[in-house]
Order: sequence, then structure tokens, then C-alpha cells
Amino acid sequence: MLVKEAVSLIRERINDQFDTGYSDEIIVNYINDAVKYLGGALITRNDPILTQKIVVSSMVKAPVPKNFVRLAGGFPVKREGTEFKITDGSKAVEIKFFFMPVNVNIESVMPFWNNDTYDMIVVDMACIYALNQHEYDVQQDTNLRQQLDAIIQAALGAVGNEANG
Amino acid sequence: MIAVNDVIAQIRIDEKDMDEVRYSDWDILNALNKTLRIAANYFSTKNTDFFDKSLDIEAEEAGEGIDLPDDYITVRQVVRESDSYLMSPSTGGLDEGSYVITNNKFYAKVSCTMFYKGFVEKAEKDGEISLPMTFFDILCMTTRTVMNNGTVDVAIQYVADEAQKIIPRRKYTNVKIKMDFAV
Repeated sequence: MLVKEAVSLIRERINDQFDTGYSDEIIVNYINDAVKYLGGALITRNDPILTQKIVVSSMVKAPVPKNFVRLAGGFPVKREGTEFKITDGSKAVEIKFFFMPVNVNIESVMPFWNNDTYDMIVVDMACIYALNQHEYDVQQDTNLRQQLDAIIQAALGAVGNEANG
Repeated sequence: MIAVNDVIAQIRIDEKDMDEVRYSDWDILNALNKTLRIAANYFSTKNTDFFDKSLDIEAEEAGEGIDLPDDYITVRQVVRESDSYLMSPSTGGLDEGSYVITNNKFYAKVSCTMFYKGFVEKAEKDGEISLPMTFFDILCMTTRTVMNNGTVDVAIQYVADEAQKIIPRRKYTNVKIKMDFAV
């Protein structure tokens, strides 16, 4: 799904087809917020969709990627500031880590690689964010968070990875 | 022989980690090697030949003292090459029927074969572990114990319990016992 499509989907959902209440930028912001929230939830569940492999070499500097969250399992590397260092003396080590998806803009595709399940969760969550725009009550935020968790649980409980341990 | 990749795959199935997101191969290999060391040490004191190895030693090198193998744990017996005579350990001088192990070296006057208890080789990815298949599940389960628990005590206890079940199975099925008097 394109971000453009997601934006019009969200507009339909919140009855804003005529672009009166929310600009595209604001809705894209909500999408990005939703992606970050979903990303955090997926990483907590050890979902493999947010893993990536890189090779750390002892010969060249190996910077920790900007969107690095944590390693997926143990590897003979350590983090020193913003660099990876190999600890067991080998020349190169392939590591696997969880990363946070980067921000999207109106021209990009949705960040979960056209996975419909995840795209729909993001749309649902962005709608809730948008509708919550003018609320100031903290209680609302708490309810909102619970709703977001419920959406993720409902969608991934059946198809996603169960969080183990 | 047990294929290391099979052990890794079985552990991933048991741990429900087919996506390789909780444990890396490096994690599993580390735990597996720890398990092998614990098992080898445990079995070295037991009456079983799973971890038995042998080393042929020439008279010249034995005379000057040959380094014990890296995987050496304890000696089982030393047999003279010429007539299969069972050599005995000596605490003092050497003759043709005795050997001395001291200072991480082995001394003898004649060519002989040393049978000893040793570690199995370090398990590497795509490699093999030189143990019979009966060890497969013990290795998998103990490795998981090491991975999840981290405490060696629990793993040792586990190896001990499981080992008891398979130790008496192979040894002494058709051994010819030497009487300690002449008939």
C-alpha cells in the first residue's frame, strides 16, 4: 500500500474526505506515530519482520545503524558508543538485529513491505490518533493506548509470533 | 555421528524459535560446546567408553616425553605395541612394562597405544559431533537447559540423570575377564 492510499483511507474513515480538518502532512505524521508504536510492539513480540542482517568487519569501522533497537540473539560483538566491536577475534561476523522502520512521507510506500495485516493496523491506529487530536484529558490517552494494544493483540494474536519468554 | 545442524534445528523447534530471533546460532553453539565439556567430564569418571580415544606413541617420542593430547582428561589403559601387554603406571623408574604421566607429559620406553578419556571436538556449524545418536536428545535438552538457565549445576545434574540411563547399556556385554589366579 502507498502512503497516499493510506491517507485517503484514513480520511474516509474519519469522515474528512474533503480535506477540511487535517492536512496530508498531519495525517502522515499520525501514520509515522502509528508505525513507531507498532514497531515497538512488534519488536517486543520478537516479530521477524523487523529484523535485518549486517556484516561487522574488524578491518573497517562498523557503525551501529541509526534505527538499531537490539540484537536478535547473541553474537560475538559488543557495542562501544556508536560502533560495533568484534569480541572473539574473528575477521567478520554477521549479526542480526531489530530495527525501527524509518519515517515515511506522502510519496513512499507503507513501511511494512506491503504486508496487509500490518498496514491495516497502522491505518486503524492513525485513525484513533487523528480522532484524538482535540482531546486534552489524560484519561483519554490511557484509553487510547489500551485500544492500540487491543488492536495489535486482535490482529496478531492469530497470525503473528507469540511473544516467547 | 550427530550432525551439529540437526542439533541446532531440533533446539530451535523445541524453543519455538524457527525465525531465529531469540537465539543466534552462536548462542546455541556456545551452549552446545559447554554441554559437551560438562558431559565429557562427567563421563570420564564413569564406566563407559563413549568418550574413549586412543593415541599411538612411538618409543622415541615416549622416551623424551610427549605432550598429552589437548583433549586429554584421564588415562584408561596403556598397551605395549609389540605384544599387547597391559602396561602399568609407575611412580618412579621406567621399565619396558610401565609408563609415567607427569607434568602434562607421557613417558615410556617402548612403542605403545594410550587409551584415554577425552573431550569431543568443539562443535562447529556444518560439522559433526563424534557421539552416537543416543546422545542426540540429551545434548538438545541439556543445551536448552544451559541456554535458558545459565547455571552449570543444573546442567551437570541433568547430564548425570540422563547419563545414568544409557551408561550400562554398552559396556561389558562380551568381555573376557582375566582371573587373578592361574588356572
